[in-house]
Amino acid sequence: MKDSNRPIKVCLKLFSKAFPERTWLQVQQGARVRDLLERVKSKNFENLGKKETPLPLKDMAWDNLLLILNGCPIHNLQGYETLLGDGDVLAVFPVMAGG
Amino acid sequence: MSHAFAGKVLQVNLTTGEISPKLLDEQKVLKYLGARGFNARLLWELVPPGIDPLSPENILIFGTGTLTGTSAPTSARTTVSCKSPATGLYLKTSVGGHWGTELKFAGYDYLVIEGQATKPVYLLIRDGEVEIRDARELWGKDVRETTRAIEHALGDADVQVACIGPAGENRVLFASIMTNYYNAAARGGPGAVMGAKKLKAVAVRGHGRIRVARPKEFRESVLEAIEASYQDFSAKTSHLYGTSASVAVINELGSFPSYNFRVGRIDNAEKISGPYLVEAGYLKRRMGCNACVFSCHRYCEINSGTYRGAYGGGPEYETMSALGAGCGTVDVELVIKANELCNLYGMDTISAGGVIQWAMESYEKGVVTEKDTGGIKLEWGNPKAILHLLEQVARRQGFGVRLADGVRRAARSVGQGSEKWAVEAKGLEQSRVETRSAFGYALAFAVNPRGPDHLHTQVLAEFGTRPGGRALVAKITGDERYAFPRTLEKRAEIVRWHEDCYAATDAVGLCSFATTARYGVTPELLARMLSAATGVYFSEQDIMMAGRRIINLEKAFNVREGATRQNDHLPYRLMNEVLPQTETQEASRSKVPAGRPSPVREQINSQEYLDHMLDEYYELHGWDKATGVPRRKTLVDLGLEDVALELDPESRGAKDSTQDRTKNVRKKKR
Repeated sequence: MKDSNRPIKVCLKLFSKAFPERTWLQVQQGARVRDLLERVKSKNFENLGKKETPLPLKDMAWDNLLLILNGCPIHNLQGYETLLGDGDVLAVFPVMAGG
Repeated sequence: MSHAFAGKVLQVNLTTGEISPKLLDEQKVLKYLGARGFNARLLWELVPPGIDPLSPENILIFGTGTLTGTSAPTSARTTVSCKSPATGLYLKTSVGGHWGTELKFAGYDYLVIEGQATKPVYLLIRDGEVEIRDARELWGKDVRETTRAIEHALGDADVQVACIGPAGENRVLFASIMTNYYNAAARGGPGAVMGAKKLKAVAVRGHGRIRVARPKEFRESVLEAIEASYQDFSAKTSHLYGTSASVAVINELGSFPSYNFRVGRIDNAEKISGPYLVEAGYLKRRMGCNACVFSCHRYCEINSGTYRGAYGGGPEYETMSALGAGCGTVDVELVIKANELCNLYGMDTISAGGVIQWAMESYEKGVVTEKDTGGIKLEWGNPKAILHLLEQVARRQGFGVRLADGVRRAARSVGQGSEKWAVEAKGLEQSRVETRSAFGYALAFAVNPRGPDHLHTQVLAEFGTRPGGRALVAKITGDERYAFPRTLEKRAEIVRWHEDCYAATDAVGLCSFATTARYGVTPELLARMLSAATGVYFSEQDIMMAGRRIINLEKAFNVREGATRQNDHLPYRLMNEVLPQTETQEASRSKVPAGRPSPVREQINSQEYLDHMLDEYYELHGWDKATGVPRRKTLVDLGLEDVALELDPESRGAKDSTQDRTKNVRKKKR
């Protein structure tokens, strides 16, 4: 049985440049995508999405971000309310269009 | 006086040398909005069924958008149409840049090339004056050399040149027509048709202007369209990184076609992405088509190493997948070099990559050996093999002879089951969209009259990744929940809306990045711009119905050629092999909430899934479910009575009988 209070680990992949910055973060059981995004914007992660990059993700409106959880866009799941699980990978991109 | 139009169509018969400028029947053009629409009408009237696409009987039409030459954002698109030598069916291919705008400034909206010259020629159009010139000196030259030679001969660096390279001369069935060096009308092999006509180039220079009927109203709607175009944040990323911005995103989704569509992911895909081109210093500048407000084109150059001196436009997303990941490599310098070769020889990068990766898989499986290839080791990602094959294909030499007719014919000639990994349908290599993970795209690709390809009906909205797309899906289906690509539900509705809108976009001359791929310019805004420019009133519904008229006419062209429901399918691999999933992707599937439309069981474009969507799609269109043939009433309601009559001469006053009609069509084939 899993300990319900044990924190879980989630990998954040921030694509503010060509190659992602990967960070493993501890979050509480029951944390949602929304909680992780709040942390991205918080002072703890000022080093992410550095100012000299053309697209500092931490300053961008959420609607301008493309969020992919384990290879699936979060809007195909439960959006910002999607529950995070241990070992999940959340990739964060600025919105792109191409093809 | 014409408004929005230059007012003339130029017909040139290369067999007789006859040059005939004619007044444009603007009312007739506007029934089909213009460009792609009017081209389709001309093809229907001038190309009898059953002709050989490389014979003098085929025609080649360059049709400018009705708003081309105005300040409407992204209005530079020109549609090139003919019967495709790759598929033997309808072909339209759209190109940006500045060539079409120049043609309108030179006094012509449409250029129709008929017949076949006995020796190489090029066409020079200067402010209404037209000459057929000797091009024997140009024959054999690549696109860069040809364009420069014409600029030099005319002493005019601003002349706009559309030309073919050696691939077109050698009738490679995926040869492109290149304009302004880098812009390509490429899919389906229009370059081979131009080569068969022995037409090396069309050089255009004009100093005229395009007038609009109600300038103030037009200006206001244009400003509104520009503002709307910037609403989606991807306007910014497109400018910074171009279409290859999305490589890493699509790889993260597990939908980046790699190793000949065997898998949807490749390690270090970031190395062949738009951001990497910028950060690694390959990107030298950004460029835009005429009147573009995004400027997504880029220009890259390699300054050192093996490919030092290679340069050119792009590479675009499609090229990164086709000549990179699809061939098993993330060597960006190789892709830049391979892209340069395709642009110089005048070849479609998507199909060129398609045939090479099929050959690589065939080599891996022992179906093609070094004996066949003349000693080339076709291992995945082998840069020498890729560049060597491109050269051989363009010149129809060595193993390239087999590949130059496209992957369907190559697989048929090699046999041994290699048809199963020839990723084509209707004879066209599929563009780099993993349709097994997006079912709106799967349907759109299956019913596309030119073959499985995204530049006919973009349904990006189904992914639900952007607010504009979700709002659009809600508008079409009544519920935002359907912005979910892994379901069969409502795909027909979503595809049909996008078909109408995309056809209208092409016809007025705008880029899909203004409408169906970015949602800024709505059909309502298109209608207002077109009304103000032409002085003829169009409602949103008029625009969308004209789009549907175009779709039905294109469909009718293929039906007249003998196409049936059996032609609306996808490549064997995608219909019979499940797209491999990673463990984390499997994990995320359990998070799909109960309220979503029911997801498909497996990521595969099976016949069962396709049939489900095709039934709904044909029904929605008013096309016969068994044959896919448009019903008489459908065509009549769209104002295509003569088309209905030609498809079924016995239908005059008779009740609908589609089965019989198909027989009539077959009998009529020559």
